[in-house]
Amino acid sequence: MISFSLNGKPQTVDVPGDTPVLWVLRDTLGLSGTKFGCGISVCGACTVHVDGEQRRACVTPVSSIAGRELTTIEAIGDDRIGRAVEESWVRHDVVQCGYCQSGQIMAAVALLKVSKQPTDADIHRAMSANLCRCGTYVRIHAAVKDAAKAIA
Amino acid sequence: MSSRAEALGRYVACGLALPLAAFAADPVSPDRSAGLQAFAQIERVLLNPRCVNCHVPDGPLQGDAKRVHYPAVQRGVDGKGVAPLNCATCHSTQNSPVSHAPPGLDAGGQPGWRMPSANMKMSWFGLSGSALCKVFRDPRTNGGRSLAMLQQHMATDHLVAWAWHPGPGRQLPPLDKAAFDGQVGIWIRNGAPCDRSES
Repeated sequence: MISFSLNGKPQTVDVPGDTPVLWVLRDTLGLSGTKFGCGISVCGACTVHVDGEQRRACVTPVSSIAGRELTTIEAIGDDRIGRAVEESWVRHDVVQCGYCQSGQIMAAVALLKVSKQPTDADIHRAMSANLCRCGTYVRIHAAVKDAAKAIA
Repeated sequence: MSSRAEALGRYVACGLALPLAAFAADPVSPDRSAGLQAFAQIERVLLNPRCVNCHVPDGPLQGDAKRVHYPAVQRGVDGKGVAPLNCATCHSTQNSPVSHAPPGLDAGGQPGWRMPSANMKMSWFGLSGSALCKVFRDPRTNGGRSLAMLQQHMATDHLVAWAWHPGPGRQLPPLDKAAFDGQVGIWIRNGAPCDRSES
């Protein structure tokens, strides 16, 4: 049994400790907002927050989050910064196919939590680890800047 | 005394004698030439991409070709990256079975990937020979380690040992781990010399 906080609520799962958090979320707990992309920690589609920091859920063993706070896309809007990012995403009509977007939003929130007024270079660097096959990068960039203004 | 007891006695005596013999074989005065030869072997390992990719002046490199790291992460004060892109964002607790995926390292059940910290970058990039040797030897540039601590670090540190278990698709250091540890021992036993002619 492995216990952790999931989106602010206590959660216990009975799975082998080396099970990736992504599998636990999608298969064990039925939270399908976090996506499987590359499976090797490169594309960012499965980005979640562990104790407020970005992690790739596809390579994170669930044993490593025991006793920690796991936040997923399902609850990111509960937070002021998360809500600002989601609203900015809608204003800028960022999404095309949408598959990478939960990871993009989690990455954007992680950036704005440590950098309230990021420069273009900050945004470019922080978001460069999340890939989008539709090429929505320009809208993503604009939405992050706009969200930063909203929380200023 | 039974033959079994005699045999045991010889075994014990032999076991006790071995370290003494090994000690007696050590040079009374350091053999500078042997030390320099040992460092030449150590250098081949230090400049291998498994080591030098993170022993750099700024952001890390990656891969056997020592390319600029994707994504463009930074060292950070503690060598664990700068939020929101920390090393642990992508480097988890174990290597991927797939070639060229970010490798991982377990540190007490948590992601353990890191670079040298900002106040002691331990950069070896672009160095060789005497210059590399001095940086490696000097506690002011080697992480504050005495020679004994340096030997211990090389022999037991998990991140150092990772270089010999880097996962698929990554070049191994040119010496195996036991040979590397042996060369570090020879270099230190012989006074940890660095080639003066190059300085």
